[in-house]
Order: sequence, then structure tokens, then C-alpha cells
Amino acid sequence: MSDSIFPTLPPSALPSAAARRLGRGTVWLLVGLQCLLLALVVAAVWLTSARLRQNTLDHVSSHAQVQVHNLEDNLSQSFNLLEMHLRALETEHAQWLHMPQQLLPALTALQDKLPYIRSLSVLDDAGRIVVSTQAGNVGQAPALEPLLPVVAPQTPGVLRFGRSWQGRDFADGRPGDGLAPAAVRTGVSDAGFLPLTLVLPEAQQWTLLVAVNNDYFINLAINHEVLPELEQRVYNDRGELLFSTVIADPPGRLLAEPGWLAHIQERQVGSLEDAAVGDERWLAAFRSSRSYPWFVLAQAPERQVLRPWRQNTQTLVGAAGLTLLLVLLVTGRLTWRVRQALQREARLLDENRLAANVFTHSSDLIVITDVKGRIVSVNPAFEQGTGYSAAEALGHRPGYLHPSLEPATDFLRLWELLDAQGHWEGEVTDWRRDGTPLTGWLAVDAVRNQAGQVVNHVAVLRDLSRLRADEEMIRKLTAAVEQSPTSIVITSTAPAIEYANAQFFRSTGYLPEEVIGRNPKVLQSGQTPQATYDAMWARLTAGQTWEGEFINRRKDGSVYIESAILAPLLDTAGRVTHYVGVKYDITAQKEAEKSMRLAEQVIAHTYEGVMICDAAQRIVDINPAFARITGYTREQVLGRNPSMLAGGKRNRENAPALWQALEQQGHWQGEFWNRRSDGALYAASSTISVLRDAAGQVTHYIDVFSDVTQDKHQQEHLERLAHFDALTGLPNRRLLSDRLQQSMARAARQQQQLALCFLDLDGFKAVNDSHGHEAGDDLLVEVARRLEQVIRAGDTAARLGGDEFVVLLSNLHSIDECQEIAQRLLEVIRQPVALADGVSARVGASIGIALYPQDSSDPEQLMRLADQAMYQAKQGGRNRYVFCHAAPAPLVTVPTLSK
Amino acid sequence: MKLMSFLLSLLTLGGLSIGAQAQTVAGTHLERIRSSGQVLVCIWPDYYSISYRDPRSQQLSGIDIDLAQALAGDLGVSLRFVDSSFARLVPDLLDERCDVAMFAIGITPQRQQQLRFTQPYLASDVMAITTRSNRKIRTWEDIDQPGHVVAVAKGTLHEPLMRERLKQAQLITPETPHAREKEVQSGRADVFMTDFPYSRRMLETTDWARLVKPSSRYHITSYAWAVKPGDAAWLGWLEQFMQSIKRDGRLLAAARKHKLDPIVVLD
Repeated sequence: MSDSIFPTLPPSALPSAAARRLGRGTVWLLVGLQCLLLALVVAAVWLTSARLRQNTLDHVSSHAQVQVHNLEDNLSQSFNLLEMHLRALETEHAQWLHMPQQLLPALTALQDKLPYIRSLSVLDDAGRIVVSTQAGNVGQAPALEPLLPVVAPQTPGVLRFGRSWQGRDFADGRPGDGLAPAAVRTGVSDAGFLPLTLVLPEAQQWTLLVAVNNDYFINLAINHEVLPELEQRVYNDRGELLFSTVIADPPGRLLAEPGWLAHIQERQVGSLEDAAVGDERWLAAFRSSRSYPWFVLAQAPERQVLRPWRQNTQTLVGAAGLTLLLVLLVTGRLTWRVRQALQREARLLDENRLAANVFTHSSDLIVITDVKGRIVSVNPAFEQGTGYSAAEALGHRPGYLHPSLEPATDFLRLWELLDAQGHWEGEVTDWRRDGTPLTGWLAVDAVRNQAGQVVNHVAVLRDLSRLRADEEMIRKLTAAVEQSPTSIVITSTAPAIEYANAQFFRSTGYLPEEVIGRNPKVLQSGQTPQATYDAMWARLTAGQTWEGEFINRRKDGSVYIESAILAPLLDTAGRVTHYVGVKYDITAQKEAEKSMRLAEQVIAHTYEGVMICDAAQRIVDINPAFARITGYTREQVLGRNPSMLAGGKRNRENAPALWQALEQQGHWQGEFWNRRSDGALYAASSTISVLRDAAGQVTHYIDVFSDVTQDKHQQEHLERLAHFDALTGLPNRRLLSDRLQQSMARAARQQQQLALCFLDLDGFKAVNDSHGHEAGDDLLVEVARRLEQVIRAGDTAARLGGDEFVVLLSNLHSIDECQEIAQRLLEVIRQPVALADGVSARVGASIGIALYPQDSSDPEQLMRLADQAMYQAKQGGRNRYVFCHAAPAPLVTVPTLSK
Repeated sequence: MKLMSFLLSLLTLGGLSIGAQAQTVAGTHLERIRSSGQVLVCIWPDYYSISYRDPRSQQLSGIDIDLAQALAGDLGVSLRFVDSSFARLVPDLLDERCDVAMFAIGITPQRQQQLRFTQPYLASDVMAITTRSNRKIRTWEDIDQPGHVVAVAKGTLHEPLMRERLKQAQLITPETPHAREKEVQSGRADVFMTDFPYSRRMLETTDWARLVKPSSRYHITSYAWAVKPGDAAWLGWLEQFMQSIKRDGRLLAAARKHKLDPIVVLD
């Protein structure tokens, strides 16, 4: 027990079959013994009964023989005694031979001596009673013949027997005739008397007549008779009944069976074998008198004789039967219990073997501990599952096998609960030998002996790791199917819908109970071509996957398009068990495709040019209008940067504002001056939009533009009218004002100086007056051209009106530089101007100069100061330049060439 | 014991003449008894279980034998039994051959005219005895039928009783009780009449006797002891003795011993 609960025996040693044979043999042995006992008892009862029967018959037979012997002996001796007494009369009373009356006292005395003598009489030779002890008999002549033995009349010395008489004596009696008297039938009868005669040799003329009381001998016969049924009869040799112990027997009746009489007379003494009267069997014994002509027959009906035996047998059979029944019940019960015990034992053996098999082959980890929790046995699954060999585990406590790792489960608590309740189960974690955790469901039970004491504990651990992994996988798969964004339907081969995931119900609008178990046809709208279904079934029934589209109808009646992939599910034998369908609604996609095509059409037919660039600003698409406007073909621009289209540096000025607008507002509207493939400039009015993805990242730029060159030219003309002097093309006062402000602002930032030179022509009035206004206009235009030649880039020459001009010099490094320019201005203006018709004219100029920041920071002030300085120059003699008075610089006078 | 009894009986035989002499001397029975130191008790030695002499041993036994010994003991004198019979009862007492007759003497009017009786101590109805095989007599009613013969012993109380009662049967009266048995045995009579004690004897000592009891009370006869008239003191003493043995259980004990308790009279 301490080594192993389940000793692993070799199969041949398993005693199950042998035990069954033994059990069956024992049971059969017991049953056989019972049968033997039954047979023995029956045989014993039968033998005993037969023996008792024979004993009874033997006993009655011997008793009958004793009875007939006794009766015969009694009778013979009584008659012998009577004969002796009668013979004695002859010698003792010789005188009576002639006077019989004298014999009466002797007869009376003799009668008193022998109690069986009823009366004594003397007959004369005529047969008439002459003397009698019974006075009534005298004078009677009784009919005595026939007498036995048969001898000659008056033969002396022979005691002869007559037939029995009925009545008290000869006086009132009559010979028995073998017929029952009426009194017999009423139950009152008389046994009668038996007449005997004796003739004495000395007195042969007289006959002594004795009436013998039959009743006396009947009394003797029935005296101490133990068998009431034994009938004793005395017959004479002719077979006539003399008397009987049976009341109903009338004297004189003949022995019924003649065969008996012959047999008795031949055998004298003995018994009758197989004596039968009618149907009844009789036991009979007989004995003939040795001296007299009669015999005694005793008989009893076998049936009656055997009645006590029958009763005894019944009692015996009853008792034996009861005893046997009791014994059989007890032994039967014992047999049954033995059988039960053997069956239990066989079951136990089977269970043990089964348990051993389970122990050995179980996939669960089984540990058996002693009552103190020390391992006494582990199964192979334990060794495989934990890595510990049985030898390593023995003697240790479960959970404490690993040498270094603490138990992950509170095993102490577990044992406490186990001791308290006898059973514990729950999830535990233990360590394998390699230190990996072993999680499983542990069930521990206490094993008790017959006294109810705990002797072992059996712990069964089911490794749940794999199960958990499988569960997780199944859960994942289930979730994947259930939560799949595509509809997934599983149907039987019927087909009837067995499963559909949530997306299915969402997309169809049906409830599970409305479609589960139904044919997927419920979804059909009737718009899917029948050919589609035919193709689908052709592939599915061939075990192949089908892919296609259905036009189906939702529960609410709306039609939708779905893409479906249908595939048969096969079992391990390759048979189709189910179909699975994976479908997704492509209605929206279809709609999108449609609108996309429309958009393409729109773009293609749009009059404006459309250019699409990717985020890296490479052209990815253009429309036909693009080619018409720019002159570039599609192939020429794809992949190129849009800057290839740019016509000049003015586009670059737009760039910062453009990017800023795109960045902030997502679109920009503006104009470019671009250059066609043939080199011609054109104005493009563009609207640039940014396409962003969901993350806000720029994916594309779309530029929709139109050729606005004509518009642009018109606009520039109007703008010139507004800002430039129409005659000379120089900026007008308005534009000058703008530029002055810009220049001052710039100078302020850059710590520079600027000079405002107010210039008025000298002598213009004369020219105008002498040569006409047209000549004057031409002179003004020439002067303007000369001013533009002198000034530097960044400077501005403007006409205020009439013959007043202003030159704005920016970015001056010194006064000298200013004086030099002013000097040159005076020189170029003073040069002769060729007018129309070959006429030339000469004019001069007076210049007033105001400096920034020295003179003023206000543009208006600065203009006024310069204007004042010009008047000073006019007053100073013209053809000169004058700095405004605030200026420290010396006044420079330019020599006049002509006045 | 047997030797003692034998000697006693020799004394009895020898004492007859002595008793005759004593009669003339004593005035009363008590004085005579005390002076002689001996009481004379008449018995009938054929009376089975009353006063019966066993022919084989010549021993006396019976209830009255026991009671007579008790009586002699109470008197403080010796006891002598004198053989008598119902036929000789009256002369034996009157002639003072004994002081008292103690053998269950039936109290009859005829006897009361001649004798004095103590209080009865037994009481018996009439019983009939026939042979076992007698086919004519089965019940008491079968007895008094035409052709049937009834025997009674001469001198017994049954003789006058049956002579008076029998209407159809023939009555014969043999001289002795033994003779009436022979009549029945030989078939010359069908039954003989007797009392309870004698019927017990027949049933116990013969093979052939069969008892026929009256189906209802036929004629109850009370039995007592008898004395000669004229001695009141003696009778008074006997009466006192009778009462004392009834009280102290000696009577019942003696009756039980001899199986007479069915007919004992205790009050």
C-alpha cells in the first residue's frame, strides 16, 4: 500500500477471469451441494418412510400372529379345561348316569368354576334337555347339528362344536344363520353363545351340552388390543363364523374368501400374503386349534393399519420439508451472499485494473500521497508533464518539488482545506523541473480505509496550458469572425444559414431569428443574373471557391451590391459539410467609382487648365485644356516641376504669399506670368488647392488656371493711367508718394539717406509758346527719358505735372553723391532737344533738394522743403540746384550754358 | 412391615375371644377401649380402596384402614381389625364384636333403624359394571331394558334400591359380590350394580370390566361409620374425631391417597 496504490501487474497475472471461474465454480458447488442435500433428504425421507411402512406392516403382522396365538391358546386351553371338568363328572358322580337330575349341583359348581360357561345342560337321546343350570332350558330340544368334528352320533369322548347361537341361552336363543339380526343394525347385539357337546364313554345315552359365553373370549381377544382395527374372528373348519370382535359380524357367516379357507386348513398356522378383499388389501394371520375344529383369523385393512404411518410420514415430510426449506433458504442466502461477495471481488479487481490503467495511461497528472501528504506514487503523465521522475518525486510533498522556486499556490492552505473537507479542487500553478509554470485544474480527494480513516490522498492535475491556448485561439477566431467587418455566413449544404456574424446582420438589417435556419435565398433581390448563381453552384459543388457579386435586398427592401467569396468547408474525410461565405457591401464603392468617372470627365472637359501635382510638386496629371493653354503635351510635363512653366522673376515675388496661403487656408488664388512652349508669355489666373489626407499630410496640389493675358494687358493700361504720367510714362504724383513712403521706410530700416530733388524746367514756357504744345509735349517726353537715363536703379523719376518733375534718390552714401547726380541732371536737361520739323530747343532746370533724414522725416514736409529749395534755386538764378536751408551743404551752382 | 401386618392379623384371629370377654366388663365403649387399651374396628376386607386385604400379601389398605389407625392414635390405644361384611354388619355391631364399623357404610333407612351413624365422609352414586365387549349395554339407559339381566349382591344397599327402580330388566341377587361378577362374566347377567370404590377396584384389577355411569344423578348414598345404638359418648367422640379429620386434612389426604377424593365429603 505504501509503495503503490495501483500495482501494475502483467496482464497474465490479472486474476479477473480466474476469479470469475472460481466464483462461478463456488456458486455451482454450493448449488450442487444444495441439490445433493435435497436429494439426500428426499431419499432419506423416502427410505425412512418406506422402512416405517414396512415396520408398521411387520409390526401389525407379528401382532396379529401374537393375537391369534393368544386367542387360540386361550380358547384351546379353556375348552381343554372344560373337557377335563366334564370328563371328571363321570368318575366323581357315577351315580347320576341313571338319575341325571342328581348331577345339577355338580353342574352348578362347575359353572361357578369356569366363568366362560353360561350354562350346563344334559340332553337325553332324543336331544331334549333334561337337566340344566339354567332352569328355562329344561325341556328344550335345541337344533345343534351340524356339529364338528363329524363323527357317528353318540360317539363318546369327542368334544363337538356347534354353530354359534344368538340369545342368552337355548330357551330364548336360536342358531346363528349368518345374517345380521335387526338388533345388530341398530347397534345393540348379542355375541351369543357356542354350544358344545360331549358324550361320556360310561354314559353314552346322555349328552352333556355346554353353552360357552362368546363374549368372554371376545373380551379376551380385545383385551389390551392396541390395534382397534385388528379384526379377530373364530371360524369352525367349515368356514362358519363362531364369533368375532366385530360387532356387525353375524355368527354363522361364511368366510368370504374360499381360497383362504383352503390355505388356512393346509397351513394351520401363518399369515396370508397379499390378501385382498375386493380393492382392499388386508394383513391377515391365522392359527388353527391343535385339538379342535376351528381356527382363529385376525386381519386388518392395510389402509387403516398404515394410517398412523401415513400421518407420521406426512409429519416427517412436513418437518423435513420445512427443515429443508429452511436449510435451502439459509444456504441459498449464503450462496447468494457468496456470489455477491465474489461478484464484488471481481468488480473490485476490474475496478482496480481499470484504475491501474487509468493511472498509467491517463493524460492527467496523478499523484498519490500518504496521509501526511508525501508522494508515494506518480503516473507516467506526471513524469512527462513535470519533468520529475517518479524516483525524484517520492517522499516529497506536491508543490515543493522544485529546489529553488517558492510554490506559486498556497499549498499549505490547500492541505488544511483538504483535511477539513476531504476534497479540494481548484486551479493551481506549480513549477516544472525546468522552472516553467504548470497551470492546471487540481482535484484532490482523500482515500479512506474500511474504518473510515484517511490513508491516502489522490491528486489529479489536468494541464490546462494547451486548453487555455486553444481556448484563446478559438476565442480569437470567434472574435475575428464575429467582429469581422465583412459579413461571414456559414450554411449547411442544404443550404440553410447556420451562422452569420454581426456584420451580416448589420448589413442586411435582419435579426438572427429571421434568417438562421433559412435558405440564403431570402437575401435575393432578383436582380442578380441567374448565370451568376449557376456559376456559383457549379464551382461550389465541385469543391472550389467562387468569387463574384450579388445584388441583394435588405430587410427594409433596399438593394445593395455585395462582393462575395464562397467556399465549401470540408471535414477530415474531405466531404463538404458546410459552405462559408465572406461578403462585403460594395455599393458605396460602386457609387464612388461612378462619381470618380464623372470627375474625370468633368476635368477632361473643363476649359480651364488643370494640373495635379503630388506632394513633391511633380506633375502627375493634366487635362487637355492644360495642353491647349501651355502648348506642352502630357508627356512633356508629367513628372516635371511646375516651375518649368514660369515666365519670369515676377512669379517668384508671389511665391511667399502663395505658400503662406496654401499653408494657412489650403488654397491660393493669384496670377502668374508664364511662358508657353513657344516662348510667348501669358498670364495665368490660378487657383491652387491643397489635398490632404486624413492625417493632414499634403497629398496633392491642384492648380486650375485660365489664360488671362488679354485681361492682364487691359489691366496694366488702366493701372498706368492711375500711377504714371500719361505723356511721359513717368510715375505720377500718386505713385511718387507711394514710393517715397516705401523708400523712407526702407531707409529708416537700413539707416540710409535719401534725397528728394524737386525739379522745375527753366524756359519751358517759351518753348511751349513759340513751338506749340505738341513741341512742348515732345520736350517733356525727352526730358523724362533723359532723367530715367541718369538715375540709378532703385531711384524714381516722376512728373508732377506741367514742367515739374521730382527725382527720388535712395540709398545715398554721401551728399557728394547727391550733388553729382544733381549736377548731371542739370547737364542732361540743358542739352538741346530736337523737336519736330527739325527744330531744336534748349531748356534748363532749377532743382531744390531736401534730404532725409536730415531735413525731415515726414514725406509731405520733405516735398514742401524740396519745393521751397527749388524756388530758392529759381530765385538764385536758375539752372542750378539748391539744398533746402536746413542742409549744411554748400550751394552748388551749375554754369548756365544758354539763357 | 409385612411381618408386622402378619403378626397383627395373627393377633386379630387370636383376640376374638378376648373381645367377647371385654363386652361384659365395660359399661361404655370408651371405658372398655381405654381399660383394654385396644379399639376394635369392623371392616369388610373385600372393599377395595376402603378396607381391602390384598390376597397376594394379606396386607390391609384403604381409606378406612388409614383413618382407623388415626382413630386408634387419637384414642391412644392399639388397633384391631375385625372382618365383617354388609351382610354381617348389624349383628357384628349389636353383638359388640367391634366398637365401630369403619368400611364406608351406606346410610340407608333400614340400617338407621338398627344402627347409629356418624356424619358422612364419603358419598357415592350407583355405578354399573359390564364387560368391555358387551354389545347390549352401552349407556346407563340400556340397563333397564327387556331381556337384560342386572345383578346385585345380596344384602348390599343396592338390592332394595334396584328392586325398587328396575322396571323392565330382570334382577338377580347372587349371594356374594364375587358371584355377581361371575354372572356378568359368563353372560348370565349383563351388568352388576356397585358403588364408586368397588367400581374402581373392578376397573383396576380386571381386564374385562367396563364402567357405565348414570347419565344424571341416580341415587346418592352417603357413607359413614356405624356404631351400636345407646352409647352417646362413644358416638360423640367419633363425631368429634370425624370433624377433626375433616378440618385438619387427614380425611382429604387419606381420600387422595386412595383416589377417593371425587366422592369425599368435607363439610
